[in-house]
Amino acid sequence: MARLALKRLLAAIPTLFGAIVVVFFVVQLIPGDPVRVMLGENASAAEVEEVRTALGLNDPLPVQFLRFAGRYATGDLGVSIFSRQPVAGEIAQRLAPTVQLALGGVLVAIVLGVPMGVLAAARRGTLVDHLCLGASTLGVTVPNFLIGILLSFAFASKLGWFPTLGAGTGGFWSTLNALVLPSLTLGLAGMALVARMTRSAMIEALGEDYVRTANAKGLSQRRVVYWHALRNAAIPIVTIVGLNFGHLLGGTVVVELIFARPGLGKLLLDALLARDYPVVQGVCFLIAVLFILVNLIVDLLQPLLDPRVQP
Amino acid sequence: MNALAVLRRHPSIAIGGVIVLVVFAAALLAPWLSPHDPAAQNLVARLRPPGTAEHLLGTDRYGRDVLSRVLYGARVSLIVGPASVLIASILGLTLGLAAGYVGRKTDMLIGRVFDVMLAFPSILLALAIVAALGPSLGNMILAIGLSMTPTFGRVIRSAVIGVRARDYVASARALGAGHLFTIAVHVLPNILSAVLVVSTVAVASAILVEATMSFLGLGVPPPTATWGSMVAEGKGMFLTAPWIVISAGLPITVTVFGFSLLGDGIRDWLDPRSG
Repeated sequence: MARLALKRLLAAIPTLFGAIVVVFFVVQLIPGDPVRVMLGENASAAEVEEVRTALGLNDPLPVQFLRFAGRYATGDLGVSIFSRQPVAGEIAQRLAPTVQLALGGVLVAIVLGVPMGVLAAARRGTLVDHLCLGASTLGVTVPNFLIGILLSFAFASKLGWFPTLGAGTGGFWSTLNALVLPSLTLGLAGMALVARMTRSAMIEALGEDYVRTANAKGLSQRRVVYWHALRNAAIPIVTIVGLNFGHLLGGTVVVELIFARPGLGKLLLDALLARDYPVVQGVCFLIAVLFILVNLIVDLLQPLLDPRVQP
Repeated sequence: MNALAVLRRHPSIAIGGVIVLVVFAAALLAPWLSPHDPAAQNLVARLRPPGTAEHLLGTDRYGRDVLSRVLYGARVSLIVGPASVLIASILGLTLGLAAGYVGRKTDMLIGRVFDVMLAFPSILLALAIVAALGPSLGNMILAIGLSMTPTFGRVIRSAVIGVRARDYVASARALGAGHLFTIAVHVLPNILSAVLVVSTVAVASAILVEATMSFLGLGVPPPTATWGSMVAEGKGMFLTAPWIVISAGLPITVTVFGFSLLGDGIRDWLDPRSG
């Protein structure tokens, strides 16, 4: 297990390096003078020159890249153009609400998606199956900003069950309460994907010989479905959750805007609108790192879920 | 099997196709169908509720006619969706063919590039590219197209690998056919169905990404009407003027639904084993 972990960790290094290349080159895409674009037309020539030197933009491209990669490798993500604070520090402050939100979204996707998929597979071809499929289609076709606005209207503005804005006032229950609607908004699209994947994996598992044996032994339908079939359908489900995690992180930008949560997504959006590129680069890189990390965990979970997968 | 029989066997193609055609017609005929100029402000008639003959879907806070803006908004979605998919499919086809046909080091290198690109959520990649290039219709198409390229590339790569192993490719090579000829005559025609299926479903995601970017204020700049920006403008007034959000949000959902249904149907038709 430790060897597998080390092997996968090493395999992730080129991808991480590639992610640094991508965030470096995003700024190179800016047409014309990037510093002018960042500071706006009213900045004086001295200010432009100061920022240009600070960012090292006068050096040749390979030198710039090596310095950039070296900084990123040591965890130095640069300084925000507007707040003049280190980007790593700004990210650290905003990380908690986003991680909570992402976990909430994953939880919603699993808790709603898996039973829906199991139910649809167990009742294949019936009205229940069609209803589950219809609901999951709705989950991927309704844009999440629309879901957020509607949920916020119904459960926050009208019923007053949850706060409309913010990440709570600090206590556990307040934080949790403020997390419900954003997690639902974020998780519904994931739920649809999880439900679909669960359904097809379960249909396959329910056709296997061991299910026939379990049925022949006279085990209850519930035990056959949940104990025998679902355990064997777990790997594709966990894989789709892992792959979907990146999509989820991308979705936090929208959800944090709608519910005014002070997280990474909001930080990124503000930086995008203000053209604060060091912050954009830092947040994008961190999101890529989180995504790579989650998929590493998914890889490591596979031999635990199915002993036939050789570590 | 004639076309009618296909449609009868795969009703999703018919339903999805009709939805897509209706939205295309609305976009195309917007100048004739719209009762008003979509950008014309009328401060006397601000936030009129829907249902009047003058403003069937009401007006927004500048007194602009919501119906006209919805019709014109369809144009942006239906330009950005297919155009960005075209970019993604051209790039994906080139890279996927190179990876799948040449194999070995080329395959590994291209695979690595895709891995890296896929580590960024596509909406994030698109947002970052647009933020760098500046918001405009063309840049948005480019950004969404680039962000979807790895998905296309991977599907095409595995389709190419499947086709390359076939006997007819080996026979063609043995008879002295060049690589380009083999690709053009034997490989390409046999992966087109895979490309068609991914493309249709990808248009749905591209339209969602476009709407999201417009909603976030990083799409086609105002005063151009887009569905996403209309929802963003109506968001703060949902309690008093819900018709703005609903009139702009519903077309997004219906259009995305239409394209996904069409894509699912085409997949079932071309590849009966999946599904």
